[in-house]
Amino acid sequence: MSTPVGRSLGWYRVPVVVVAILASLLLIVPFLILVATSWTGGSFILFPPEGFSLQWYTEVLTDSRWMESFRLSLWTATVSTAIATVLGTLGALGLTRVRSRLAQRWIRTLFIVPIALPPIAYAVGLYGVNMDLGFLRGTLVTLIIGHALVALPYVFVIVSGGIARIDPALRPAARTLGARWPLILWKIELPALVPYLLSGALFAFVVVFDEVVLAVFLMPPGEQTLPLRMLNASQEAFSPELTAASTLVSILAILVLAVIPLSNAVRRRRARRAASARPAERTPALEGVTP
Amino acid sequence: MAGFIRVRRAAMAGIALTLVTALAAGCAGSDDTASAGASGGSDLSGEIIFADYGGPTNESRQAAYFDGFQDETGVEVVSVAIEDAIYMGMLDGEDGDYDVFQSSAAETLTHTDNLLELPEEMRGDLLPEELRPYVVGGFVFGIAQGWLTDTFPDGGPQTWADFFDTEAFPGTRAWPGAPGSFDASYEIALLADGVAPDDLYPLDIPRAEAKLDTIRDDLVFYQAYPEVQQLLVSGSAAIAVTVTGQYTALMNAGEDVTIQWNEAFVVPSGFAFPAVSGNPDAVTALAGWMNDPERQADFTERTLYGPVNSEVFDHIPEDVAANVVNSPEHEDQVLHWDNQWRGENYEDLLTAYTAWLAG
Amino acid sequence: MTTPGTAMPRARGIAPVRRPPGTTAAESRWLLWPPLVFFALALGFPLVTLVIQSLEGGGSAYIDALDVPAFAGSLMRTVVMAVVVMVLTMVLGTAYGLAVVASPAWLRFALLAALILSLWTSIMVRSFGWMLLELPRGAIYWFLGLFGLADEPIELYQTTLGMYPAMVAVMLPFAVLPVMSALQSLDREQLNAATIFGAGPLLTFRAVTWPQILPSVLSGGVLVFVMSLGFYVTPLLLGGPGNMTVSGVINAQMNQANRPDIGAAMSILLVGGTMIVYLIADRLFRVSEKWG
Repeated sequence: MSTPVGRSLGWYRVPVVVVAILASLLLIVPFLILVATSWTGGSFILFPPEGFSLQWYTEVLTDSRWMESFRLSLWTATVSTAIATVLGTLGALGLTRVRSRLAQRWIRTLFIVPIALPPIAYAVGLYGVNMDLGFLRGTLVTLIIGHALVALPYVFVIVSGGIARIDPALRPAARTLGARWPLILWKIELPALVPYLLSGALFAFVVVFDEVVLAVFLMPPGEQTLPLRMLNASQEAFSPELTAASTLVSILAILVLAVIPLSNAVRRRRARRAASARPAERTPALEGVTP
Repeated sequence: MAGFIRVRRAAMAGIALTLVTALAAGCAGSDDTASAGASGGSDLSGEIIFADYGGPTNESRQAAYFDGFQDETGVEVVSVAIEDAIYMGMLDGEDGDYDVFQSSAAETLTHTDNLLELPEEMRGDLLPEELRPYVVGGFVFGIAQGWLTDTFPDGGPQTWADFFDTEAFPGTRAWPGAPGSFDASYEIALLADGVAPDDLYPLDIPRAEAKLDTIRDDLVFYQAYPEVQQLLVSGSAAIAVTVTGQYTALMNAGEDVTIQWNEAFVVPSGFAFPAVSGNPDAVTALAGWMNDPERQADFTERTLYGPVNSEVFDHIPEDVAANVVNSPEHEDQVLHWDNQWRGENYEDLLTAYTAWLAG
Repeated sequence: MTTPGTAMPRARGIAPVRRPPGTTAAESRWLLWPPLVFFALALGFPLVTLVIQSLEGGGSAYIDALDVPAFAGSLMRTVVMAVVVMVLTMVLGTAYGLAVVASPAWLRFALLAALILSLWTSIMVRSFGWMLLELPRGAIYWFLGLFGLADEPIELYQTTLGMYPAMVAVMLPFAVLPVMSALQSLDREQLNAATIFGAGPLLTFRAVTWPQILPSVLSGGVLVFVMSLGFYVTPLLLGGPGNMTVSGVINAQMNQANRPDIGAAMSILLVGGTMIVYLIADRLFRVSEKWG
């Protein structure tokens, strides 16, 4: 197998991969069950499904309310995620500048409070604020802020995990060379953090996209986010609309996922072609000596 | 089924329209200045924020009541998904978004200080006397046992005592399992234990729990009412105890369901009209609109929820009435619970039931 | 109970005095202040509302909260549950992350797809999928029936055993992605060097790979533990009401009981308890030194 990590695991790779495949069953099997229920010809979410029909997809796709909800969820979640990503990354970076262990410990703890706080309690608190400040009523401001706060810890925790792996000698070195802190941040720290930042942002987005408790409290009347719409579809009857809508979201996600590696592969192939044009330039120093 | 879909389409169109107008109103400025739309010469304006539990019942309301009301008065009825903590606060007199919201009889009765009263002619005469002034858009559901008819070809359980008899009627029972949702659990257990319907209150909670413990291993708990449909249809539960709306949903989906009306509980429900409501004139008009026997008959046919206006039974066919809990033909079989007592002891009931669930 | 509101000024008071070498005041101001101000606004206000609400009856809500019979038991149960889920998820998540990086392209794509698909399905819908799977005559029963293996309905639904797989599945992505991020930026030269100098797979893993992914494993673990404290519907639905968590009790108080003061008091106890547990764990296992 090709990757260095794979090689370094030697024969232990086999049990690791087997465990992972078993774990992936935990993820994929319920998903497949749900997909199967969405093509039922009946009106229940039931497994095995009764017959085959795409009526529930038609129902969702032709219903402007589902589409409206999807768009609304998409943009509110994007805004909240953007806020959470910027502030969470700043927080994680800023924390490394704090010398006192005690202060660090407290700030770090503070940053995970939003996940520990039961959503219902936070929602009641925010609703109270919304009621007290009249100008916020009927707007999405409180919801977006609340979602950003809920999402922030995910970015913070994961980016912190990434910062721990930056070579601590880099910063002083750059400083000695006369770089000021914004330049160090931009050229050294942020590039190293990009993968963490992205996975943090992904979690943030997914959590906010699925959040329903704050939405019930804070959505202006007449508008519904996707999870609210789903909640509505699950009142009184679990309509297959629910699993059809959910499957559509997943298909969209998998398409996006498929596009990224493909574009990566294209880029890599181009890079390889460019590299093969001048082979002497970049010979892996140690690769050749591997026994 | 086709009728059901037609209803959905109409409801969708209605809601889509509402959405568009609401958006336009939102762009125009604050809620107060929202345009009244094409008003038919009435003095009413604005919108009504109507909080219920959504789903097919809401769509039926939209079709049976709201669409016509909107055409007639120009007042938009904007449905929102109700959040318990918000309406509970409003019952206590706090500020909130809803103009009118769903509330149980027990809650309504214990918070009448913060509610507005309706004019005499808009009150539902099938509601309990003390409740009538405070209920907008009343409806009646039942809490009953039910099963897929072919589960017990020779006839299923007749009484609550039969329900507890797992020898005669084997199989798992679906039972309410969400923290705090005690429904009729204690009443049912006491009736099964031999307490006469007239002697139920005050409820003997320890005795009821002891009775419930005897079949705990045969219960499967649902967190939300619709799970009942999956439990019954998949054969994972033989009998269910739940709100009758769930059996209606199963029938609408083409299942053959038997509802045991004997010893079923009649539960009046409806919407509370808070003193802090933002558009009281429009809500009052809506209350009158919803008490009209023909419109209520339409709603009853769509949902099989019982009416609160006795004239409705003149407008619905026999076979519909047979599936309505408070129809005259069930009168000798069904039971009524004590809303006042339940309201006053709500917190104890809730805490006790949650603790019993948690084991 | 120390609330974050009182914790922040203290933190600020210490921070500017002794700064790591090469850090300017402007730097920490620009980096740390925006999130702290945001916290003060977005968390501070509602939290203060909550504290006021919980103190409305002069603190009696805290006594009432402890008197609610289901509260203390569910609190213990929730902590145990969160620890079990955290340990299971960290082990499986690390293996999963390693497997993604160590697999050929097709398997890597399949593993990633499973991760993403599940992450993009609403948790409510996913719990429902597990219900369909575990029902006595659900999908597992149906599947076994295909091979003639199912005579009796499956007894898994609403048992403690039936609840953990679903909970681990919900949390797994949160443990896998950090590990994957770390593995992808692993120093390959070190791995190659270890191999050249004759280190076996175990030694290479222990000496090179593990120390480099440990911070991410821990940060995933922290996330999973704290998130697991908030489990509500999944254990109730799949584990049965006997597995009621503290969130279930809080919801019942806030939603059905119309006792927001008790709900608020319980929430504050939960947040405070989480912070204390976390601070102790931090002290004992030096979690933050590894991921900060």
